[in-house]
Amino acid sequence: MGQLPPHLELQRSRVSCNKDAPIHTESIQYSGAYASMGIDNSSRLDRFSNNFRVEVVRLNEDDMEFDMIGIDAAIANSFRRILIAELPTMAIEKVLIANNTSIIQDEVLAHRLGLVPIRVDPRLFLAIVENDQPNEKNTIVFKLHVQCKRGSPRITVKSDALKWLPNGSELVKETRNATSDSSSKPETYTYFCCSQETIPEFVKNPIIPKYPDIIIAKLGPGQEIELEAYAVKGIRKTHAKWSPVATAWYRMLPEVVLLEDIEDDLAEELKSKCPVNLFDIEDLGKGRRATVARPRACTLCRECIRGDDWEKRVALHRVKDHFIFTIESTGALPPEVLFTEAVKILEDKCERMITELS
Amino acid sequence: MKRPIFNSNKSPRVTFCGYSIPHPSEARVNIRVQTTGDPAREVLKDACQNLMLMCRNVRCTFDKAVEDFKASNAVKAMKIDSQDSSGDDSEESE
Repeated sequence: MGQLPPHLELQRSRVSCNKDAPIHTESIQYSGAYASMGIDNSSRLDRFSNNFRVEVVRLNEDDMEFDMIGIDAAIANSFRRILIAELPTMAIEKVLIANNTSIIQDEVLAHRLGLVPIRVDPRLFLAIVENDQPNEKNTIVFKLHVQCKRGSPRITVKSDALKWLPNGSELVKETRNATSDSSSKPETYTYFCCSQETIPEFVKNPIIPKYPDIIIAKLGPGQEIELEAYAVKGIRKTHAKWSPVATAWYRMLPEVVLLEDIEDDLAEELKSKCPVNLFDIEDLGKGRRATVARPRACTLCRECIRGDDWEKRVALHRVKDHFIFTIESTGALPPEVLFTEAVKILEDKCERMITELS
Repeated sequence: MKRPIFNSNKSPRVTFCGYSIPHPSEARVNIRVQTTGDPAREVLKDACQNLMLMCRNVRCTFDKAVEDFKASNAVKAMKIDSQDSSGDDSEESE
């Protein structure tokens, strides 16, 4: 199997970012594209597994940056889309308001509560279906009871005021049946068979909102809020509150090529042009030469090719199969787990298609 | 989901493949696959199978890379610790 001539290889594997617009942006999909040269462009699993690499650059509790090398743009994009829209999370959906004398309207308060991110692993819960009763396997119950007494200064209700109720709802349903015996447990709005505290994961990490200082409401003297909030599992396609990531994005690796030797004054000019300091000046014995020191930091502002003649000296490219992925999680799951779950979801979709097709 | 299937395009058995969404309000996708002789359904199934195997590969490589990164970070943290605490020979390997 031969090698493609350099100009064709450039076309196939790099996006050329010219002054006006990028060219060669599509990936050459057709398997017989280079058949006349004797090159097989078809994608084969063994070649993929040999060439594919992942390098983690940064990994914190809430965000990570890693490189995926050797993957197609379509697959990278589907991972990004699944990360954003189809990973399930828990968020507050129903709010039962017993008392709200604050100036924040009921629906506004409920909306704000829904947007509070909750620190809990959504894989431990089942999704709630239409006619299901809320029980300990599909609902998390929070209680908020704040009161600002007359004479005391105004208080700010922050998200740490949300208390987790592992035994389910405490609001009692009013039954019309006057002859119900008082020995039976009063019926509440949820049907918990056992306390959620018994599940081992929650013994060590009680369920709380991820950030304790999110302002939910403000109360003046004499105002009170008493409510119960039920959190259920959902995906961001339904509503943005169920988003597991603050955002997830990728960019292709930039490549800066110096087409000719740039020396002395031109080198100084080039170095001063770049806003992110890509270029370095190398001191040779007889003069100074510019080199590309940090191509990864390039933001493609195209300052280095602005002006006359610079396009002949500097070429900007992007490598088509090297993606720099960044994932920022909202806190429910750590970012590396989020990515693994997204890949699993794509696999599930493929399986479903295969079973449908057979 | 539809665009990754177009890796099937790269298979030499496929002459044409494409998708279209007739109307954005209804969740329906029309996929068209045209092959050089093999039954199109099999080719599509093989493409999905390939995609699944690729995803598994991605997952394994990613998990390994994350583990390696965490291990190398742990080693770095321990090295900094042992430099801070003077004369302390902490040789515990995780």
